[in-house]
Amino acid sequence: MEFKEKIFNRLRRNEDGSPLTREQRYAYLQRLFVTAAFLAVILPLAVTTMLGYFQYRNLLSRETDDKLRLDAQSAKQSIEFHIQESLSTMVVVSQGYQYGELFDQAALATLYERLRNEYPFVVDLGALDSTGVQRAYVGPYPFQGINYSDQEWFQNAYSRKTYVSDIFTGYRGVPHFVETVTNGTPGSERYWMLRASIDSDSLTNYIATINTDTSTDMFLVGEDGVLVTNSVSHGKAGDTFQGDLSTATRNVTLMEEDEGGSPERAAFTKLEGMPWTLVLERRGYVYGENWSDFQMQLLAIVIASALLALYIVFRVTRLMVVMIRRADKRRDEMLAEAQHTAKLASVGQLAAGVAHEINNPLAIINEKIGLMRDLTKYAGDFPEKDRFLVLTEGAAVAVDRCKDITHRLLGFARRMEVKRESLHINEVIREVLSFVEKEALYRDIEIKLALDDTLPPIYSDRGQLQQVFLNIVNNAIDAVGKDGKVTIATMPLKPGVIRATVTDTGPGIPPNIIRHIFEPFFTTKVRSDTSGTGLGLSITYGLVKQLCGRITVESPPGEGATFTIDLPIECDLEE
Amino acid sequence: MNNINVLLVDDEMEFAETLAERLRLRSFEVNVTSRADEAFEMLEAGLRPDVVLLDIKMPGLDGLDALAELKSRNSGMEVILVTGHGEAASSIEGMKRGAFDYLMKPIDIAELIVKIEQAVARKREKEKHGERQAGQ
Repeated sequence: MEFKEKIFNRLRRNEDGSPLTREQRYAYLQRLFVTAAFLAVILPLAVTTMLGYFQYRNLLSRETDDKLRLDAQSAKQSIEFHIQESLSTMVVVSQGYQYGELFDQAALATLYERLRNEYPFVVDLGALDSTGVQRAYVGPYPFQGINYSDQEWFQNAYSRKTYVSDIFTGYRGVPHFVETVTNGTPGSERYWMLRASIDSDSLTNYIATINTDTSTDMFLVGEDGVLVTNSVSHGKAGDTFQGDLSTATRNVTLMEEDEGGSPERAAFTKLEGMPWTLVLERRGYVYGENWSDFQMQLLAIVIASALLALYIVFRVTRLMVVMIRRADKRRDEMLAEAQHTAKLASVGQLAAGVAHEINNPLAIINEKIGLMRDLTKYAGDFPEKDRFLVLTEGAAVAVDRCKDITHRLLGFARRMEVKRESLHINEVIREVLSFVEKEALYRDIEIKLALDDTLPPIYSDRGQLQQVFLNIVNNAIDAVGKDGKVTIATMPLKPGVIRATVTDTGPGIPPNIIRHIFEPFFTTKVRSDTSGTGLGLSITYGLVKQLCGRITVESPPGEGATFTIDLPIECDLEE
Repeated sequence: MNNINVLLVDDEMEFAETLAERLRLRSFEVNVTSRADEAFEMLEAGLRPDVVLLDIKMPGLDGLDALAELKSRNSGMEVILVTGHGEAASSIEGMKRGAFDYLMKPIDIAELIVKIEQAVARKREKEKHGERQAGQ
């Protein structure tokens, strides 16, 4: 309610309290309509857009998570298989040798060649005794005879059948790891260990071959937080990894971080039998191009819809305001007409009231003058008798004029009983013309008739219609004066209504006069004796109204005047 | 026609007295009263007017009711209504109730005299007719 009140108040007054002009009100109304309609269109559009956007994003998010999990799982299996396979081969191959055979340089070289054939990434191969001394070595480095007993990997591998070490730089200064296979009981003299070293570059290359998604950064991190393979965003093998992998298990774990609107997600899992954690990181969603396209299309649709809505809303509201403006104008015109009619009615009543009041004293004056004249007649001669008679005669004529006015006024206001009958308007006009023809002839005025003989009969009052046309035609003849033309025409106007027009070639009626032409006592004629009491047209107006009709006058400058009378074929109002 | 007795009933005494004087100058016998009830008193006192000139709008009993009363007392009495208000409907109603005719103020004396004489002629005609019927 408060909002409604506020709107209504705003339609009446400006924010500074000054009253709104009509144009300001229309402008405000248009702004209000545009805003309301635009909101009504834009809000659902925005909600639908947001829903669609988030639904699609969630879907993509789930898809991305699923793919990342699947990729991680698949990569885990591939890497595990890749390492385990080479380790298994070493196990199988070493089982074919007795203690001491592999300390033979040539035998080890043969084994190295066999391994290199299948696994070219093996850099070198060494055979160690239980004290950690490398008794035989095949590879590009001068590592024969080196004692590895103080190396962490040796200590870890010593009691294990097979072992894969973490990454380290070792004597070569190159990040690499070792795979070991042991034979014999640890601590016994016949214990020996086969060691193969593999550069992390080869692992990096292998990961590159299994990682087919260019938007995913796949790499391995050792237990000590050092990168086992190169990473696109975390550095090279041997660098320290900054992320937190403390929650990593043998199963794939997913993590998501929203950085700058584009979510960064990671999947990580510990590898079986290796001291490494596999990490897959990716920014954005799978089907990234689709997502970008979707965003662009959505934006384009929203902008296009909003612009279209704005355009339509603007056009429709403008049309509405134009219609309101027209309705206001029509209402103003009707109000003005109603006021005019009411004014005529009240002026008529007032005039009738005045006539009532004047009529009685007028009757007294009339009798007094009559008595004066009687007395003068019956008395003998006295000085100035003739002059006295002339004076009383003049007073009697003046009383007659007044009487004429009061009687006409009373006639104007009186609700005469209407006697309706079926009649032809053309007949009434011809009857009326018989009264005025001589006058027109005398003044050289041509009366031209353009009567439509196919008009239906109307149900109206013959006497009153005669009076109406007599007044209008007399008026036209008076307006022309001498040498001119009066045209009387009848025609159908619309179903149930006929029209009669009386057009003269007189001087026309100025606009300031035409407004008052139907008001009582308004006349343009020069007063002389009894003509031009200013009641003829107001009586005519009242009669036409009484017959449910309408009378209007038009006078284009310099083209005479046309009185138009519209009459219904049947008048329902009982007067 | 002479010795016509006219009773003039009109609350506008200035008008009534002047009109009465003019009629008297023309050899009419005229009695004037401003109220309908006074007119009835005068009739009861023996006044026998040939014609009653009756104003329609009067204080107290108005012209139309007075007309009905007069007609009920003496149906042969002729009444001419005088109206200052141009009420055609009242005048027509008066005619229906038995008025001889009606005139609108201001009155033309010549027209009034003609109507009075016509009314008296009719009254006398009716009286003769009544006497004939009584004689038969």
